[in-house]
Amino acid sequence: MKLHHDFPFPDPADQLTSGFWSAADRLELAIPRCARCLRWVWYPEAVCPTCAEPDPAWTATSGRASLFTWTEVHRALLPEYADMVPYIAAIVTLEEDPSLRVVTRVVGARATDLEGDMPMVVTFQSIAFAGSPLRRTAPLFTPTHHGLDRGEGSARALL
Amino acid sequence: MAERSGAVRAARARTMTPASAWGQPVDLVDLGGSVAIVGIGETSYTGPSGRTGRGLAIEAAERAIADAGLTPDDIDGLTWSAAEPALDEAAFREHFGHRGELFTSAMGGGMTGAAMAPHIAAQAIAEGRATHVLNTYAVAWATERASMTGGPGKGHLTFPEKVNLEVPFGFFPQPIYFAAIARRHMIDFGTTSAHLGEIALACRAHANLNPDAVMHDRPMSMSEYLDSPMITDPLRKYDCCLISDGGAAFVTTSIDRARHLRHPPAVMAGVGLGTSNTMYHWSLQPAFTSTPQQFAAPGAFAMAGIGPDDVDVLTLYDPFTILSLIQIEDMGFCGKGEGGPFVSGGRLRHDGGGLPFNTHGGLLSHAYVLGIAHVVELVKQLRGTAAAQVSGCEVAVYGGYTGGDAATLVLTGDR
Repeated sequence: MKLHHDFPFPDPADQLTSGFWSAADRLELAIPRCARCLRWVWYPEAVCPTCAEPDPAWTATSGRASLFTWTEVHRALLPEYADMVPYIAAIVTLEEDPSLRVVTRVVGARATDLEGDMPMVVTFQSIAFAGSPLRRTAPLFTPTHHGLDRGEGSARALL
Repeated sequence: MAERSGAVRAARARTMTPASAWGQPVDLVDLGGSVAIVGIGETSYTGPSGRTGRGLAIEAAERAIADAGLTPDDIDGLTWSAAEPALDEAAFREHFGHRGELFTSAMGGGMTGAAMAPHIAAQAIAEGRATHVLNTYAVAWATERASMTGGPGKGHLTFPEKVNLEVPFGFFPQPIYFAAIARRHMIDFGTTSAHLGEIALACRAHANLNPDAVMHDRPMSMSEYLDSPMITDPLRKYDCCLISDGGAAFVTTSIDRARHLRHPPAVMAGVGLGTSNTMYHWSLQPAFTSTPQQFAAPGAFAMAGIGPDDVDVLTLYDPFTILSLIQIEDMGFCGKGEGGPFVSGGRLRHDGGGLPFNTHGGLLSHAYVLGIAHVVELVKQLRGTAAAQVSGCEVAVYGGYTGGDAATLVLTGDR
């Protein structure tokens, strides 16, 4: 098994997913959407699985979501995660369509304060991994009541 | 799993089903009662041994063939797992000097394949393509992990969606996936850590009775379970399986031939197979706390002419406690969400009067050999030779699982 050079950062050469990360650089949480049937296509596909329209376009979302599930990780299960633990890995469902589940991390909250289905909002932060000088901007999430944004368009708190 | 990542994208691209249809059963030819497992063989189960998967698989194979009272030249069918091909056709021919005809399939081995192997053999036997079919599975992951050359996570790094949309968030590997499932099961159904502990404790108690189990001499109490280090909340150390070196094998033949061999036949009474449309992308599966076992078990039970209440012993692919809990629900032993109360009160113990479960100790406390030893244990239970023997055992069920698919195997005595 050969991993790409930047692992565990995303592979900039992966055509289907690189749009997610270039959107994050613009402080947008973007999901591919079919231009013809307007369905979200997640995970990304080269053609819309519903209507076969090619090239679903990366489309900005509101960044508002619900906390579907989470786990506070205490042991680094990859060596590159060593400086992150403990951290909260999570899945959120997006306001635009509850069937859209996005993997992320929860920041700005203690694990004991989290509740299933609580409202969350995106926050763009720099991520790093042990042993690498690289940084990337990533869409992370924080509980809405922690007050970065309460419904005035997309939340953009670059910390 | 490497060969499947391209297929996942292709399968999803073809999917035009509504969101509620997240998986389905796969039609299998009804060959219930036509074949039986007649030979079993195992290696020792250990931590890092310095051995190879191939060496382990060969040892298990030799023992299974001998246990059946056969010779290697009698074997004319071979099944293994494409994901971990410890003993494929070339390795088998090289080691045993076998030059005869061989029916082969890479859809057997462990996990789901350990449940499917008897059915694959039954098809080959029914078509006259084989007489004695050998299935093996072995891993040396304890050795490989120590040298950082392999382990259970490696297959998942072949999926570009995981590498690019999950790994950068620390959502990798399997303990995280199943901790996330456990959390949602707790949210939806009120499942507790003590419920998960019941599963860990049942496996450990059975391992304590089984000299072959890695955790044979390590008793565990509920407080020790609850005090064990949190790996990824709510999964503690003892919610997670071992990492082991070891392997096992079994020989399947026709029921008529089986009745002339050394051991009482363990009859393949039923097999069922189910798939999930989101395959190995756990985060996307619409029924997040379910497994394709819900599509597999009904077919297996129907083929065998039994129901959940008829099952005397159950072994389930159990890399994490939560996966056993939700498969117990999905196979119909209790309703969805009722798994926590169902497993409580010692009901999973071999002598607990409930549903004897993973009586060899399972992946959690016997060895992480990915389900092949679960099937071997059922054969022992039906022969009456298991370490934690269930009295009067006549119906034995294995649930195998990979994530993208799951299969149920029903074995019975020769009724």
